[in-house]
Amino acid sequence: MADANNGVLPRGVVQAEFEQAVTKFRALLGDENVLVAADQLAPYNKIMMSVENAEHAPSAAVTATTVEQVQGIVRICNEHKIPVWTISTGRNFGYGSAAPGQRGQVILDLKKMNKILKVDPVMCYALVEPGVTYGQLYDYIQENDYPLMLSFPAPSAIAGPLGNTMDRGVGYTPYGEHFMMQCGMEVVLANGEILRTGMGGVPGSNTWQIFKWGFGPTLDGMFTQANYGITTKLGFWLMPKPPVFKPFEVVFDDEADINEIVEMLRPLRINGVIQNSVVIANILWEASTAGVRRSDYTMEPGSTPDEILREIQTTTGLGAWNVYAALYGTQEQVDVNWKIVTDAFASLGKGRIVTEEEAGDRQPFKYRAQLMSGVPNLQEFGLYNWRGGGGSMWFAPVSEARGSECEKQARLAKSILNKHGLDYVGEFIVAPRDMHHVIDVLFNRADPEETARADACFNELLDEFEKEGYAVYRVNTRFQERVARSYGKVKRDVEHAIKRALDPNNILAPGKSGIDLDNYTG
Amino acid sequence: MSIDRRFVLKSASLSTLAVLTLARADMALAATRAASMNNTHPVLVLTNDSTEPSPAEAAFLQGAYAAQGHALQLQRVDYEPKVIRALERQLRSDETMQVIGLLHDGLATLVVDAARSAGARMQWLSLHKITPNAVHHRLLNADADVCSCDTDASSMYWLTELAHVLAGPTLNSAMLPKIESRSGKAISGSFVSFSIAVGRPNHG
Ligand SMILES: Cc1cc2nc3c(=O)[nH]c(=O)nc-3n(C[C@H](O)[C@H](O)[C@H](O)COP(=O)(O)OP(=O)(O)OC[C@H]3O[C@@H](n4cnc5c(N)ncnc54)[C@H](O)[C@@H]3O)c2cc1C
Repeated sequence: MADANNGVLPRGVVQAEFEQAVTKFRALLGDENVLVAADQLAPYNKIMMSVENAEHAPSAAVTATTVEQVQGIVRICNEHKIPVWTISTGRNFGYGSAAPGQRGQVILDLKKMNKILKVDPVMCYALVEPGVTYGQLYDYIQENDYPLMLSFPAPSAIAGPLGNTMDRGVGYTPYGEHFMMQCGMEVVLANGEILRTGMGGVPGSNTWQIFKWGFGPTLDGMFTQANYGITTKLGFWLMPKPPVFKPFEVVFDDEADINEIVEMLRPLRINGVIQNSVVIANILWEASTAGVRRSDYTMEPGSTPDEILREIQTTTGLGAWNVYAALYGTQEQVDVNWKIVTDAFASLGKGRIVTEEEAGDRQPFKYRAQLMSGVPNLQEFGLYNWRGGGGSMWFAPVSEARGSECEKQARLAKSILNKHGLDYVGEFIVAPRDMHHVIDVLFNRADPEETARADACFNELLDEFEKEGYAVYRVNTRFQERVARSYGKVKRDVEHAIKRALDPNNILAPGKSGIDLDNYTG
Repeated sequence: MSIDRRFVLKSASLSTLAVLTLARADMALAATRAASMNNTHPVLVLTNDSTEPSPAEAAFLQGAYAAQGHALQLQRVDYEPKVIRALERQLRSDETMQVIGLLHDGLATLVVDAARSAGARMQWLSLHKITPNAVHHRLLNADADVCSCDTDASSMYWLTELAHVLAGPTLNSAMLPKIESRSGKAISGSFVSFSIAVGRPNHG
């Protein structure tokens, strides 16, 4: 048993009180599931954000294996007013990783609750525990030869459906808006009670993963990106595996092409010719995931000049923008849609279409095609080597799927990033009407000056985008309070009224999405 | 996989190395951490997915070899999910082992996360950004960023020393290679060094 404490305490909790709680955690979970030593907690704190690690240092991490244990943890936390930050698979890289939102919070790591409770190949759904990874689910589906396809985020092999859906993450198949495909959840409330959403409260119901809405207010959404409960089971729909899958890329050479690309794609997306979450990725995103590093081209500090971006385009054959999409269905359906798509691109008079046959095993095409067909991989971690230094924060504003809007956002983001000596490494993930404009703010955390610049840059991005009426859909824990303010006081008042009603001791993840009874003054 | 030791030494000797050490505070901390480990257990060095080690990696490997000799095990990591999953299983093992490495940021992120997932203990974790003009170091632990300091970029001897300490010295540090060769070529790169203790806590 490691008994050394790493010297961090939860907010407002004295050492003696904390030790009593730790003793109770040990009795409930066993010594091996209560981590307090500095070397056990260090891997939880690779935060990548523009602040000191100390601001997100946990006081302890506990792991549970059953719902009853989760209830027991909540009871102990209430008794000692210990704040607890829940993670499932804990791979929230760029949004706070596995670290707590505030210094001193105890991490509840649900990685060991990793049972696949059900996969129904006929009704096409799954019910899983929090620790299940997409990689694990993929293997299970393969082993059982189920004709089903997963949708997942890029860290697919190691991330999990429950955690990703709780943070309203996205994937790249027709089921890419993951919360839209969620159906039924089980939640441990702060008072220890267990809530099942949708049809889950009806004894003997077999439609918990079939019909989302149940009766009366639909509650599922309020548990996502929130701190009103600890989700212990999640149901979600799975796409039947299509007989034919045809991925393709369209390469555009000019940065200004984004407007026309979006105008051309939106009708195809909105009328269902292209069903999946299309990606429009810029040169630096694609180059870095293909293994290109900034130091291959320049040693100069600051943002990378446009001439170098064009040089990278020339040497790699990548575009200023690279569109990835796929067609799914029977051969006849795919053939018809392929004609519509190729005609549409031909009418644009620009853009080189690359098929799977032409691309072969070349990256980044290969991993993009895998993401669009539900095959796990980790290739996108190459992003971290573009600049190096371990700093990464996603800036992810929502945009209308309108060309002029996307162009405006891309220009604004690039100018702010470049002003702070950083690069625009961005992509648009295309839904029928909205775009998740996802930008990886990459910086060198080993350099305090660059870290401070990245912090200032992120603040300016939030401020300047807000002036234009834009806001992000999700953000790392450093900026959650700031982003909550963008969404208005009335929303925040309601969120805190719900928090007071459900969690009066403020023990569940205080600070998540800016909801914190101890800090919010109204 | 195994990397030919002669190749490593050759790469290192081609690199720009001189007499310079990582900040003393960092090195002392690394030594303290290493001392808490049992020196007799196996040491596994994780290496990057590149076909040949960069000069920085070669300098690091030299230090590890100096500490462990041919008992040192090398294992390549890459982005293949099965490789990362297999590593996680290794890190979960009850067998006592020390896993060290100098990896680029993308792979290091996956290794640190695998250590968390496996419940292994991270005894050392530090960022190093090498530019032609300076080397930035940032040592991370669970509570505070212990040291953020810059050192001269004209040498990578600190990497040899660091690896020697992290690998748990079984040989005298006098055995550390004395490398003075220089090249005019600017060296750059971004790395994460780490030491992970695998096996039951308080084993040694
Ligand atoms: C290279 C790269 C590419 C990425 N691409 C994508 C992408 O394409 N799409 C995308 O969405 N993300 C992406 N991400 C971000 C992130 O890695 C994923 O979203 C990932 O799925 C989140 O981690 P997780 O699934 O392990 O969830 P977790 O880390 O377990 O959970 C995420 C958050 O949800 C909340 N939560 C978790 N479990 C519970 C629970 N049981 N009860 C209540 N709240 C809970 C917590 O606030 C937690 O911090 C990417 C990251 C990297 C590094």
